[in-house]
Amino acid sequence: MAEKVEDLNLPAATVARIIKDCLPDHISVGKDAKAVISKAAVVFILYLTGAAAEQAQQSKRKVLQAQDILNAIEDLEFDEFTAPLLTLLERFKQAKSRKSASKGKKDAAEDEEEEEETMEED
Amino acid sequence: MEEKKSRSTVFPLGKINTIMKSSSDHEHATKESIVLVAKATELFIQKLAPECYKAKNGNKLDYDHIMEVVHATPKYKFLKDIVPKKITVLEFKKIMARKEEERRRKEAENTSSDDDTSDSSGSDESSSASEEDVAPASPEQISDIR
Repeated sequence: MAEKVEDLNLPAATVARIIKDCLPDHISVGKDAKAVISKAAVVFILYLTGAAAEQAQQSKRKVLQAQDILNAIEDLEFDEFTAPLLTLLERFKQAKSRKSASKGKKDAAEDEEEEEETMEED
Repeated sequence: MEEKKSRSTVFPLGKINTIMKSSSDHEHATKESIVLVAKATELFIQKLAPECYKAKNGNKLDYDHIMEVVHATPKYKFLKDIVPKKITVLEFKKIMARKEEERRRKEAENTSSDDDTSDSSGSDESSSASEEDVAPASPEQISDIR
C-alpha cells in the first residue's frame, strides 16, 4: 500500500520523455499537460488493476496474472494494446527462460526488445 | 540519462507495483502482470498524447486539449474527475453564491429538498479556477487520486 501521495506519482522525467517521443519534434508540451497526463497514467494503472483484480476474482484467485491484465485491457476497450503486450509477454517469458539457461544474455535481449517495441507502436 | 539501464519497460516496476497495490484487494501480482501493466501505461500515454495533440492544431500541447479529448471520449470517462473542466472565477463565484443561497433556504425551510444544485456540486468543487484573473490551480491540487 502506498504510504504517501507522492508514492502514487510516476517519475516525471520518464513520463515527459514518453510524451515527447510520441509527438512531432516541434511540439512543446505545457507543464500542466505533462502533470495531468502523468496523473491520468496513474489513474489508468489503478483502473486497469481494478479490472484485472475483478478478472482474477472471477477465477477465484487472489494473485494477479498476466492473463488477467490482458483480459482487463480488452474489457476497458484498449484492444489495440493487446498485440504489443502479447509480444512483450512472449519476449519476457523467453528472456526469463534464457536467463535461467545461460545467465548474462538477458540484458542484451531486453535492450533489443525495447527498441522493437517502441518501433511497433509508431 | 536512464538509457543505460537495461529493462523491458520504461517505468520502474517497483513503482508500478506500489500503485497497483493501492488499487484493489488482490494479494499479489506476478512479475509478468506488473511488466504488462507498466507497458500498458506507456502505451496509454503514447495513445493519449497524440490524440490530444491532433484534436487541436498548434505547436503546444496544453491542459485544455487534454481536457477536451477526455470529456469527449467515452473510453476516457474514468479520467473525467482528474481532468476537470476549467471555469472562470466569475462562474465559480456564481456557483458558490447559488449554493450558499440554496443552503440558507434549506435551513430556513428546514426541509430536505435536493434539486439541481446538488448535481453540479460534485464537479464544481474540484474544478480549478480561471484562465485570467486567478493563479491557475495546478493539477496536483485539482486531482484527488484516492
